Amino acid sequence: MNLCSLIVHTLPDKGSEVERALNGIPGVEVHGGVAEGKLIVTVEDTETSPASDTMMTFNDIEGVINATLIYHYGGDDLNEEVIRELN
Amino acid sequence: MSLTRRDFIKSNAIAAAAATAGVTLPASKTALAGDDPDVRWDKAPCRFCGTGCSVLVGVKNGRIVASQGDPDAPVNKGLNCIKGYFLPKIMYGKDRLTKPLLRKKNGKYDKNGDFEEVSWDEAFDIMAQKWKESLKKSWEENKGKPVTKITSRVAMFGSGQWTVWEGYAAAKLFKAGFRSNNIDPNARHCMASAVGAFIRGFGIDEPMGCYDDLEHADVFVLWGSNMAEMHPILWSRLTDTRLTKPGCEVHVLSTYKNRCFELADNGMVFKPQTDLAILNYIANYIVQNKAYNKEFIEKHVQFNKTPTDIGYGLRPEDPREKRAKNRMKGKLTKISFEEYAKSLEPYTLEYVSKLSGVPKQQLLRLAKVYADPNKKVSSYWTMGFNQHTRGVWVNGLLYNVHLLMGKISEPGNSPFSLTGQPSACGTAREVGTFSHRLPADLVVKKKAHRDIAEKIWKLPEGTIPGKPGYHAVLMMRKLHDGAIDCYWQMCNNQLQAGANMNNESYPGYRNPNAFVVVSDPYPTVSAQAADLVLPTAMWTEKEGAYGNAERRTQFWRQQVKAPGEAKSDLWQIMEFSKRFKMEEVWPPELMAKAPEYQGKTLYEVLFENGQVNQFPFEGKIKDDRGNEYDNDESAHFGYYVQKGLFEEYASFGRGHGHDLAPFDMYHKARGLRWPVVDGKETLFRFREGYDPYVAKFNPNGAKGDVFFYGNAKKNGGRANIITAPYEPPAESPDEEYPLWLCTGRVLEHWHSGSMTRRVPELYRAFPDAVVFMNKKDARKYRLRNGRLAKIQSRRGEIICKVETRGRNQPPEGLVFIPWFDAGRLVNKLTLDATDPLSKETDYKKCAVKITRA
Repeated sequence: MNLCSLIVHTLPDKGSEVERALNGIPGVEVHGGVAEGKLIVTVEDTETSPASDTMMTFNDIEGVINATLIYHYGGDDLNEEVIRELN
Repeated sequence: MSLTRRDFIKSNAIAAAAATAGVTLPASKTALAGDDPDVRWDKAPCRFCGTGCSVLVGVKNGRIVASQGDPDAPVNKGLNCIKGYFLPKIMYGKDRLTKPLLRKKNGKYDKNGDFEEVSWDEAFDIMAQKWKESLKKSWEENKGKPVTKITSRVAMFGSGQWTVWEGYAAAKLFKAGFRSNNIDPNARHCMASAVGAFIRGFGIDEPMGCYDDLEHADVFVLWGSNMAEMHPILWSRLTDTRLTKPGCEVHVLSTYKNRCFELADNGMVFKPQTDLAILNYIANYIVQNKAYNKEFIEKHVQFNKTPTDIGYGLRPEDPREKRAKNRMKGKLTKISFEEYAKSLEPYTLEYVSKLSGVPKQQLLRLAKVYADPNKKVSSYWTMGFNQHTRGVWVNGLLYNVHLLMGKISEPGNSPFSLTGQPSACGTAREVGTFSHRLPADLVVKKKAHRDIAEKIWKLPEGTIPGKPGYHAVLMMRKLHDGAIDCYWQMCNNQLQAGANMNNESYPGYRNPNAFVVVSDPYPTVSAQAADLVLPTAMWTEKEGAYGNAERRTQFWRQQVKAPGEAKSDLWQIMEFSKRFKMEEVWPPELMAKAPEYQGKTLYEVLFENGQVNQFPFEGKIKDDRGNEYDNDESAHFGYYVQKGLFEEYASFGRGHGHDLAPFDMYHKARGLRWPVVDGKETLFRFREGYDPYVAKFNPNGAKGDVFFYGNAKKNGGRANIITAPYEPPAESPDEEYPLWLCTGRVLEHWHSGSMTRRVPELYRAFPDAVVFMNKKDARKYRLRNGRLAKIQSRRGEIICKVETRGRNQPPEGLVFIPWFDAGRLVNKLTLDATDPLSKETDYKKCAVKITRA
């Protein structure tokens, strides 16, 4: 199981368009950064596409300058319950 | 509230990305972020290119489960390229080698036998036997010869991916132990021309600037560097500057359109080899318009010329070599500024535009940014310059331009050679694992330099041979010719990487007289052609150190165990040395100078010398956060091996402009750029205020002034401007072979693909090599996108799919094929023409034809 976060660098006036395009891809979520032209994106495996294959397509989206990986988790324990106190 | 690990990890992932991007998100997005007590995090430099990104590695139950761009790393500032995602996966390929494999027939070694699993003991037994036979033959051949004439029949092909101590131990074993200078790294294929130009221009190796230039420059110029794909993190820093700094420009020069052109303000496709002429045009423009920095050149520059018509580094019987008037010559002659100016006169805008195919106004725009004293220019290059039959020249011609303007050794003004391997600088160059070098820029040819090494290594005078050994390309020829009996390839894939493999390297590897050993984690093309394959630990399966392109030395600790019986290169080198008694490797006359070494092993003399074994090992390596790590080599040999080797090695350069910090400091820092003096790293060399050596060499110099102290003895501390003309390449297209072939890389794969092709995701992203070509050429040769084509040169042929719409857009008359694919070996086509000065192969230019397959 894979879970990644990326920064997707966009052309200054294309942030919203790219955000829409990314949110339309299964397993992909944009969390912010549209105004800065640096979208904060998470990608997870789906049944048909591993996270890595999904993120490989980002460079082909119009308005994307660069997709940069920041964080990757590849352990098999993503569905495990963890108990953690919330502050 | 019940949560899954996913919620928790996701929050961490979002927080990391937002912090790196400098983007503020609603608190709900990152509320769960925090440390996971089950995962041990530690830093490690990336295993791939020369950028030297730092990665945080998360280990759980002895396996790497997570990775993150290191937010504290000055190089990548928390970023990671798409290959970084797969970094941990390179260790877990399905066909990882876990046992030594020896070719055998009827239970015995046989060159034509099949691979069988053997023990390490049996592997080293046969190796030692072959080595000893060969060393004896070399004794015979060297009888009565002075140390400056000694040759050897054993050779090693090493690596810019070796850790610092692995390269150091290997060089010591070969140069001092076996008395063979036949050790050369694969870095010969990527960096040698850059080295040659540094030494000729500045008298000391490696760039004066650093990556900080990426934020300081006003103008970026890429010369034969596809940074967008090959150095993506540096590219993203450059992109950031371009998009945020008013007036910032990017100029890109290449022989085909690549991804960098998307950001380029001035993208130029030039005809192969005419970069020489373009650079001379820029210099001519600067001189004609009197734009040069007169004060700078009067104080800091010496003008020179270099012999011309020097051949192409082919075998001496090649007609091109016989025709060359000054074959392999490079001795500089001092000239006046006026003579220099005159040498540039032929390179007018009209002439160079016609020769290069670049429109005049684009060349002019480029010349103007270099000539503008108010614009800070950083120039970057990679293999386009270095893999060039005039590689040293073309590197030098770019320095000429920067030196004419005084645009050097200060933030933003920087001619900068990028490296392709993680430790081409740190190991290959700084340790000096080349056939002509010793650590810290010393060379085997100079007796005074050999004396220094012999003293540090506690060896009798006259141990180290004074004749340079076989460089990478010559090694293939000598293997082929039967002059090498024992050949050990470590941490690289030379059979796939070397040019003209059909006619030189492959017949060499399979030469019945040769015993070929390949150490690798995977069954590469080279391993499959070897006689003995040694399974090798990689990356974080051992403690390591790399040095990146900006002189930054970075350490990592062992994070996990290697699989099966795989052992690190360091273990292999040191353990193998135990198999030799000194009197078996050194002839009686040398033994007579060191009677105390009689009966000792090579291991005892080289590694248990009171220096390498001086630091005790406590059984575990501890960090200052209380974490514990294994160190398998130290546990095996009984002392802190890496520390002992590093400290002995560092003693070569300390006080000589190559200062490295104390060992322990590197485990704490995110790397340090040498020279490191009094705990302080050096960002910009040769300028007072940045580089402590300037005041040392030039105590009366003005504040902030430059002094090129590498040339202090030679010419009083001046940099050399070296004029050199345009000369044609070794092979150009003709009627029979009408197209240029350029080879190179793609983003998804690193070098020969031995690691990245084993990651399923990367394989799927770019499974096989294709031939990138222009649509018009495709039509002309009755080909279409996706169709199979046969590509032939005078040396061989391969078949691959045609790509006319991809990321690379060649002009008419040129095709590009990446070299990562073991199933489509493009080096069957390439010519082993080299720069006669640097001995680096030109992989960018040869002639091919293309037909339907």
